[in-house]
Amino acid sequence: MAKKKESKQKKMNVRVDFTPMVDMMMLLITFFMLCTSLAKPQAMHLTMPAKDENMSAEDKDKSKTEQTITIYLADNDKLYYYIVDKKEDFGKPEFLKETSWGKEGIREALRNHRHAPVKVLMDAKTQLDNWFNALPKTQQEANDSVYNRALIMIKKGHVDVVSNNQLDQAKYNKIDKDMKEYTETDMVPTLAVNIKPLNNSSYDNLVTILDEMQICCIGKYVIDQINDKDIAILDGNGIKVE
Amino acid sequence: MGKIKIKKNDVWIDMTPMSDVMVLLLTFFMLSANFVKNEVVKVVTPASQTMAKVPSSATLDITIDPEGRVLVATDKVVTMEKALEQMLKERETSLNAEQKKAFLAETQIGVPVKNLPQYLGMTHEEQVKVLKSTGIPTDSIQSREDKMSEFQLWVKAMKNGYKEWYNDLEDVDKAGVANKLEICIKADKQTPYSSVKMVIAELQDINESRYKLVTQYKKLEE
Repeated sequence: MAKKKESKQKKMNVRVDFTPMVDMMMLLITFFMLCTSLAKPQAMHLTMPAKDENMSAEDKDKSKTEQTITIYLADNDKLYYYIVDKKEDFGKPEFLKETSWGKEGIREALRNHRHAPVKVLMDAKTQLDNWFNALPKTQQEANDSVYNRALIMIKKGHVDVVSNNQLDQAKYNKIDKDMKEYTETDMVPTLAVNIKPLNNSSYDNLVTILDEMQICCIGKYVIDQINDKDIAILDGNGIKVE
Repeated sequence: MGKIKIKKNDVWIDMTPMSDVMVLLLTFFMLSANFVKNEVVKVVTPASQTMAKVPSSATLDITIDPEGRVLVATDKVVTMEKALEQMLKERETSLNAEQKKAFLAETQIGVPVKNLPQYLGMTHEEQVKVLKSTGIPTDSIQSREDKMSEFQLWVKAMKNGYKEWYNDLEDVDKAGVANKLEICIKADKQTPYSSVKMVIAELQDINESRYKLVTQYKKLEE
């Protein structure tokens, strides 16, 4: 009798039906697919100057006139830039030029600025990127702060910290904390950008132009309000300010 | 004869590989999930090629919709609770325990504090309608000495609320926790610059000068 029972147990079917489990999995996956987003939004950092009533107009604008560009963002996604060589010329409407967004338009104007082309800085950044990306993964993390500091140096005009897609360690170490006193080689002139969005321009335009600052490696830019001189320039070209 | 043979065929399909795949997929989705917040006022943010991500916690979201209405939100319930207490005191309004609970379940604040009791008594459909047509007042309150606006009061209250919560933490728990709320400005593509300017100017007035602009990633055109 006992023997018979054992043989019966062996014959028992131990196959489990997985169909309900798969059904449940499907439901869960559908839930997760619908209720989550894979892409996290990006954050663009923006620092505005704190409000200081004591700051005079002269202090605000210390950059040389010929190394400055003023960008106006206007209604209907229109974009204008203004370059003058002499301070006295600022305010004359005929120097205003219209341009388009993107690579062919504003980026070209910034890249080939007459006195402070950012082309040089962008090239230096590409070289720095090449150096960083060629590093083995384990070293990239350790060199993260070096990369960021070198990038700031480039933005300030020390383009010679990189050469031949390599970081020049000797030069990198020579630059002091403030990145000001550095006489071994010449610094290239850097461009200062005044961004002046008109009230009727859209937020999209503002973000796009700030993004352009990142792409073009420009460290000196400010979002400013339009003043009487700007109004004279814009009015002279028939651009609606409000 | 043939018919009988077909009937005898076993049509059992082995589901094990299928459930294996399912478990893998499920794990993937669970690990990479960011839950979509159920925000009433949604905005389409502009695109940029910035790589940095929005911090996942300790944020103060300021939403500006295309009409220039301002809404605030924060991901920390404790902060919200403390900010609410302060705002109720500032604006001399009171809520009962139930209303407070309902308020904390909200994802965005978009009505003047004085209207809160009435707003919280509405049905959900009505609330959505109200949220889409009001917003936090950004004009300065004339009766106040410092001429702050309700929006500025909210930002201050939330910042202080978070700070209080952070200072109460044990030193061991402080590791890895941000020591202050990060201001994230989330505006629509179509939002006019004048509205953004006004919000930024109000933030500058209360000495907040660092923000994160929320954008979507876009590849750089070569």
